[in-house]
Order: sequence, then structure tokens, then C-alpha cells
Amino acid sequence: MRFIFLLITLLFSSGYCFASAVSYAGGTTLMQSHNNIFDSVHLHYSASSKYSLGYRFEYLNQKNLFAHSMQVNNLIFRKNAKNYQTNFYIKSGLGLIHSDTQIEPLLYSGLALDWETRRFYASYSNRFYWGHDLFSLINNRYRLGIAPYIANFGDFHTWLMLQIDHNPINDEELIVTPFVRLFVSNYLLELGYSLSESNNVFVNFVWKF
Amino acid sequence: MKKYLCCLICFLLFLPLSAEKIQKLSIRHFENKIELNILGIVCDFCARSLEKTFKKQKEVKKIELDMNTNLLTIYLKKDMNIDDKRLHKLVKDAGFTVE
Repeated sequence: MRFIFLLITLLFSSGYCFASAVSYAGGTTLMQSHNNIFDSVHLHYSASSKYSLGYRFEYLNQKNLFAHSMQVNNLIFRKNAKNYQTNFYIKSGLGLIHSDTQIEPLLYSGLALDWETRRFYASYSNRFYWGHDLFSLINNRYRLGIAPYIANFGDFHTWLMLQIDHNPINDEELIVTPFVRLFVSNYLLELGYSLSESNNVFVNFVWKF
Repeated sequence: MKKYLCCLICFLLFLPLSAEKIQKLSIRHFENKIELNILGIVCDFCARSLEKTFKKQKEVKKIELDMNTNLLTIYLKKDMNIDDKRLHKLVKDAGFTVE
């Protein structure tokens, strides 16, 4: 069973990886993420450019736990300027988390802030994850990025990024992940290597349709 | 003669002002195409929303986006048009703002 979930995660494609939490009105986004804590698949539909609703599956790879939830993303504020865009989102979810023997309610919530030009990228997000007795997490995520070249619409885009995860209540408090973000057309791929004790491979894939 | 001179002076005086005004218009309608200046175009992946939104419209043949000038060009099907109010709404639906 676990193998099937992992296969789905790897074959398709989540959510906490990219601040594109809300798409265009009527748009659907499929996101996959693999990092040292979660393997996840998140599919969401944006009813407007202000909010999206979706299903999120997560496999907590170090704890052997599974989570299923409905996630709502709200765009609280967006500033579109000539040379930059900045966003503020709130993301919340409600569902179930289970092991082979135990099932518990799951609640999580967090905010995400980003600022981006064509050359530079900076973001902060956090997540408060409560799975009753099974698993809890507080995550602060900081990201910085630079584009080595400025590409136009339709070109192949490359970003060099650095991610720092601060998990104050978990085993590994600080995880640094350098990665590269590549995107073309409606596909985005992030590939990196986490400087962590285990599960170092970092992969995110996003498909917007 | 005096009348013509007055007209000419007035024309010359107001010409730069009108030209500036025309340049500042962020939505420009032409035959079979519309040009818009968009704010917030910094990321190709996000700007795909504009393509998706406009391509769903029956009036639209294709779009072109220049991120260097923030210029969105909408090519229209024959004898079709989209009014400014709807253009503003469609750009907003895509997550952006008309300049």
C-alpha cells in the first residue's frame, strides 16, 4: 500500500513547495513534493484568483504515517507593480492522519509571504501542523533566489535557490537545502539536496492546467 | 489669417499633451488586436494564467506577452472585440492588474 502511495507521489505531482497557492479563475494545479519529512501530492482548483480548494495527500516518510486533508488557500493581499509582485496567503487544512493501527484528526494552518522581481525572489512561510498524538510540526521556511539570466515569456527559466527550514519542535531543527528551480510553459521543477541526516533528495513538481 | 495662426499655435501647444496622453493609455484597440500594459509580470510560470484565461475567450485567436515591456498583445478573430471593462476583469481573473 505504501509503495502505491509513493509511486503516485513520484509519478504525479505539492503544495508547500511553491507560493503559487492560488491559480487563475477556473485553473487547476497539481503539485508534488518530496523532502526529508513529507512526500505529498496536492491537487487544487481555483474558483477565483483569490482562493483555491483542494485535496492533499501526505506520507510522513520518517514516521510511516499517512495524511489526507482538504486544503483551502486564500490570497489575502497581492501587489502588482511594474517591476515586482508581492503576495500574502493563508493556507489551512482539515483531515485525518493515520498509522497502521491508529487514526487521528489532523489540522494545519500557515501563512506565506513572497516578493519577486525578474531577478530576485524571497519568501517566508510557516506551517502549524497538529495530528493529535501521532505527529505535530511547527515549520518556518525561508527562501532566497536569484535568476542567473533574465528570460522572456516562453523561454526556459532557471533560478538558483536556497531554502532554510526551521522546525523548533522536531528532531532536526535546522535544514538547509540548496536547489535549482526550472520552469518552462506550465511545468515547474525544483531539484535540490537537503543538508539533513536522512532523505536528502528534494524534488518538487508543479503542473498548472 | 489671424484665425489660422491662432489655430496653428493652439494645435502646436496641445500636440505634445495629446501625444503623451495617447502613450499613457494602457489599453489600445487596433483592428484585430488589442495591446495592454500589465502590472506584476515578473514570472513566466505565473503569467501563464493570462494565456490560459484569454485563450478561453471565443474572441481570442492567440496572445503574445513581452515581459521586458509588460505588454500583452491579444490577437482577435475577425470582426470580434472585447470591451475595456471585460479586459480589466479578465486580467484580474488571471491574477494581474492593467496598468
